[in-house]
Amino acid sequence: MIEQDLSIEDELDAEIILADQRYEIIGDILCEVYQEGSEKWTLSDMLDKVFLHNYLGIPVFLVIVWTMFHFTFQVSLVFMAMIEAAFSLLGGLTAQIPVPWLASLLTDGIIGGVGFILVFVPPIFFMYFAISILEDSGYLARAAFVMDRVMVKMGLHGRSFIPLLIGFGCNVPAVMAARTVDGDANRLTTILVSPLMSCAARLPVYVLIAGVFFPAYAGTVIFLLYLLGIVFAVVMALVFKKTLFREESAPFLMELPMYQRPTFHGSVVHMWERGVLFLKKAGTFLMLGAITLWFMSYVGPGGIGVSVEDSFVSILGKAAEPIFAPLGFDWQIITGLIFGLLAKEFVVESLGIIYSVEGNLAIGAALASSLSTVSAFALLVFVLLYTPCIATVGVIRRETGSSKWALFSVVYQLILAYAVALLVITVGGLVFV
Amino acid sequence: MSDEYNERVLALYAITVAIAYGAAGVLQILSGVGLVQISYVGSDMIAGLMVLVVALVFSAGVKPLLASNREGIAFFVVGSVLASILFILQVLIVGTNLIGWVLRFEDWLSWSVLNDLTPSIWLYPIASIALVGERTGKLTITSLGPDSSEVTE
Repeated sequence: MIEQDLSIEDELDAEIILADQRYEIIGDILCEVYQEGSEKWTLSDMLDKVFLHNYLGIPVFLVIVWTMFHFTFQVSLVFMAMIEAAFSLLGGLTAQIPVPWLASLLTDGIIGGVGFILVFVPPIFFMYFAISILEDSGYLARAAFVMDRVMVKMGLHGRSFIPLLIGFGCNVPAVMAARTVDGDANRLTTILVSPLMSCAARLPVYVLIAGVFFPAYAGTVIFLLYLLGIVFAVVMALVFKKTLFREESAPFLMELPMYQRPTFHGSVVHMWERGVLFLKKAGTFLMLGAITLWFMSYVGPGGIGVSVEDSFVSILGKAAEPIFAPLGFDWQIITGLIFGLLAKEFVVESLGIIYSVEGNLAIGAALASSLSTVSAFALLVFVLLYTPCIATVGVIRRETGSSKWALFSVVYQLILAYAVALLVITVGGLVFV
Repeated sequence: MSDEYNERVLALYAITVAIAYGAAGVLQILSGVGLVQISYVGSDMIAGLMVLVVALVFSAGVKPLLASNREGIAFFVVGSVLASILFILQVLIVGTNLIGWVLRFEDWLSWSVLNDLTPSIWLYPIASIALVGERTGKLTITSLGPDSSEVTE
């Protein structure tokens, strides 16, 4: 009998057995000490009745996520304008420096690049603030629970949603969090789809493009992009499960924390802890990238101080122009996308530098003249779906222990991004012409 | 005040709020699609859908409330929470837009507070009456149901 039990248990996940044993012990203790009274109905039970409701759970989740992104975009607009005005003032001063290359480096390279990316600090901080509130309140755990139902119905592993949620902040820890997913196939699927979740580094691109092309609905467009990321993660996971990997999904056990009233101080601290990483990145990696980008746009085969059209950055962008011609992206945007392979912040940073060196200080106007509305949406979708950054590729290689899977993730994401962007152009062309 | 009285009042109240939010949500969606042109409704279709969800949550509580089922209170409370979240968001948007307008930033020069008066703001007084009612002791929400006084935080 014991032998039979053991053989059955061997097939079960150790964590499930552990959880069962834990509840068994809790049950035994309760039997000894618990005196039955009238049934209690806590506020947590009351909220869970709706937040975890079969039909209303997901619509309520969508309301909360929509509010988060609307808050992120709309409330940060004025603070972005303040930072932009400050850098514009500073740029006016540095442009007066009598040494032309130094004036260009500071004005176009540092202020046009790093200064421009710092304009997006408010939405990034506000998003982290909103995520902190959701985490501290205990709702985020419910969101994973609600989404688990959808994922399990599609034959996916419910626990995969936790790494995907982490991916809203950064894809690197999301890929690493896939370690918690049971089964090699489930884990690999989660690793491969985690980069499809919109990380904070993509937010500046969304805010810039949505703000220029969809000013009245920018918050909603950003919300839809985040939602699209989840949809594509689920769809791709399903495709992988049906084709590359076949493994049964294990049940998802999760202890839901009690709801807590989040404190302003606690949420601000969490926001700062995460947001400061972006500031450090801006002061180091992005600063170095800005100098490199500026140098490449200031120097060309013709020598130093050439026009940006004859610079190395232009050569790089124009080389890939035929590939992106069906999507309607010009060489400036293509260069941004190429540098965006290093880190998504570079997409906005390179646009800031290139347009600044070109003399287009109003980046919004420059973008509006070079992209159609449909192409702008295709660009947003492309940025959402293509390889997030080199760090994510590195961590995929480390977590899978294989360069093959890292390369596969880059290639499949590039193909997916291009195909979906082309679909947007095709459908958009039919609808809006 | 009996529990039965409270539940009936809440059921009636929930259906009123649900109809108000539902109508505003539909109008906002129609305005977003471009089928109607109404002031103070907004033209964000997705925002209209969010308002509709609030209506759905309130309406889901009506039936259990009429049946004296405490689950109805849960829908009522969450409906009020969602209405409050949408209200606070819109107030924050008005506040930050006001800062931009006061500082005379270019994008805010033509801003008017009337542009930001969406259903989530002007419907909120209706949704918040119950919360005010409870605070003033005119209504009992969180302690309703067969195990009154058992609801704890």
